[in-house]
Amino acid sequence: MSRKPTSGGDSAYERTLAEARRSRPEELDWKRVESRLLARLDREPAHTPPRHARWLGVGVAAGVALAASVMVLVMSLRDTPEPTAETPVLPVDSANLVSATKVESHTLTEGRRFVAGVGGTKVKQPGLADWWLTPGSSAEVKALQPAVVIQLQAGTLYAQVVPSAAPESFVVEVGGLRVAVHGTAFSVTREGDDALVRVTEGVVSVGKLGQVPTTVLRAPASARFAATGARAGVHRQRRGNVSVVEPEAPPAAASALQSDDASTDRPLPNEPTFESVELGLAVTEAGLRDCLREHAAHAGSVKLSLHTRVTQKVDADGSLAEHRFVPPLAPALQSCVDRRFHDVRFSASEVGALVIRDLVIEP
Amino acid sequence: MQLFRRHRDDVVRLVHRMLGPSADLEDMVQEVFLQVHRSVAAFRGSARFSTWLYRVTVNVVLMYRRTARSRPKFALETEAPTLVDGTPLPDELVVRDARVRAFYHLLERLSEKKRTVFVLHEIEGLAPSEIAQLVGAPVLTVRTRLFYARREVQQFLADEPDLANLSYEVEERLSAQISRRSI
Repeated sequence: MSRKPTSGGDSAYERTLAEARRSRPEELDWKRVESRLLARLDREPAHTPPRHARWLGVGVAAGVALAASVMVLVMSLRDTPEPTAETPVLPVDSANLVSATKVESHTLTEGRRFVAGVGGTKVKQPGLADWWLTPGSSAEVKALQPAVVIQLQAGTLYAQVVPSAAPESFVVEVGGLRVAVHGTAFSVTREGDDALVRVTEGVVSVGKLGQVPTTVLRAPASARFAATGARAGVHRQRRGNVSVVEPEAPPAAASALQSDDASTDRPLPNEPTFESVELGLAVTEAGLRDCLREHAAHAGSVKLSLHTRVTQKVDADGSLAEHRFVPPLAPALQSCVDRRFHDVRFSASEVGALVIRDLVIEP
Repeated sequence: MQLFRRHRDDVVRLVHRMLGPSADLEDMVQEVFLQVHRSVAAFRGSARFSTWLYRVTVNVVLMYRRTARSRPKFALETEAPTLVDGTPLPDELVVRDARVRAFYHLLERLSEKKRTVFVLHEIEGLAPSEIAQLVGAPVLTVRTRLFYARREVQQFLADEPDLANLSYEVEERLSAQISRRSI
């Protein structure tokens, strides 16, 4: 004998609560969480010392800062060769910018413009990113939410971005280019209409503004890009410090991802790489955003946003076998997404993967 | 890291219960242990470590929710998981997940203080005296918030017959499937 449906009485209350209690959190990749946590802890400042030691520390720090300032001044008077695409350079160490103007995150506002003086400018955004402008560089904060977007107008920006589950938490726009970051250390230098991108940790994706990324740079690598998004040449460092310059390549579709992977001579990993999954999701999100924008054009003055869970089945060859959305998308939106996702590729692997991510899309 | 390995399951469970299935658990867990790292020196042992860790976790979650609330919001196209009638019966787990999500969506209608107390008591199973320690309020205040929160949630459920009936429908359809198979 079955129970009658209730209209929301006590039994529904108890049943729903029981279900909420039984609900289990998703399985996390604890190794990954731990390594990311360690990376963040490494960047944490040391604990505040006891009061009696604090003044001693201040004295020592002042002495070191004075000495470092003198060194920076002396170094700046010497001719320093401009780094080129042929010589990948590590991002500047914060110690070299000890006399930099420091900017705290709470003073950051959209539209704020920075012109770095002699010591450069350092911006700290705890938990998100630390970024520096070299002396004479200028940049403007275009957005702080949902991602930090910095428009580099001149010079060089170095950034160390904290890995985040949210893709593309930090973006640099330079000319007509968009350099999106997936938790990494990198630099962007504006040279006329070109941009020189150097990556020392992690992965960045580069593409034209308003379009899906066309190139992925995996550390250690540097590449020069024209404002059209065309890649002039990629310089990769392999194991044993042997450098290989890839031939000039026209910007391909998002499938450039796989070709980048194919250039490596390592055995296939069991699953697609984390970076490739993040980038694939970033491409998915960008496509979904474009489709929503088209869809929203018919909505008049009503602003729409989309909350959905996407499940993507990735085959071993990196192709997208299937994608599903819960709750389902409107038919027009779904067909738009189907068209756009045709070319999404992940890195090749032994067994492929099932990728699940909750997305919040605003056009 | 020993601390992390020993307590991570408790933290992830509490975050999941406070935020619901759509929470970005990985980020939140990192944030909690970052806070623990920053302030463990201030832990003087006057309370149990687990209580202190609970308090840190609750504070991180509340801070996250406060930040999320301050972001601009627009009219939503699909605000909550939609429970659509007439569609083929999906996997039971998916339905259960959708139902729990819908329930957490209902809880968003509670005030933050009532929601916190409600989740900690009714879902996490903490006693009002423990909750009082965590949220820094008198036990009587916790009990009062709990009383009103329960009443409001019951009213929300009464206003959402779809959610209340879904369990019944799923059970009906599943038992029908099972009986067909046994025939």
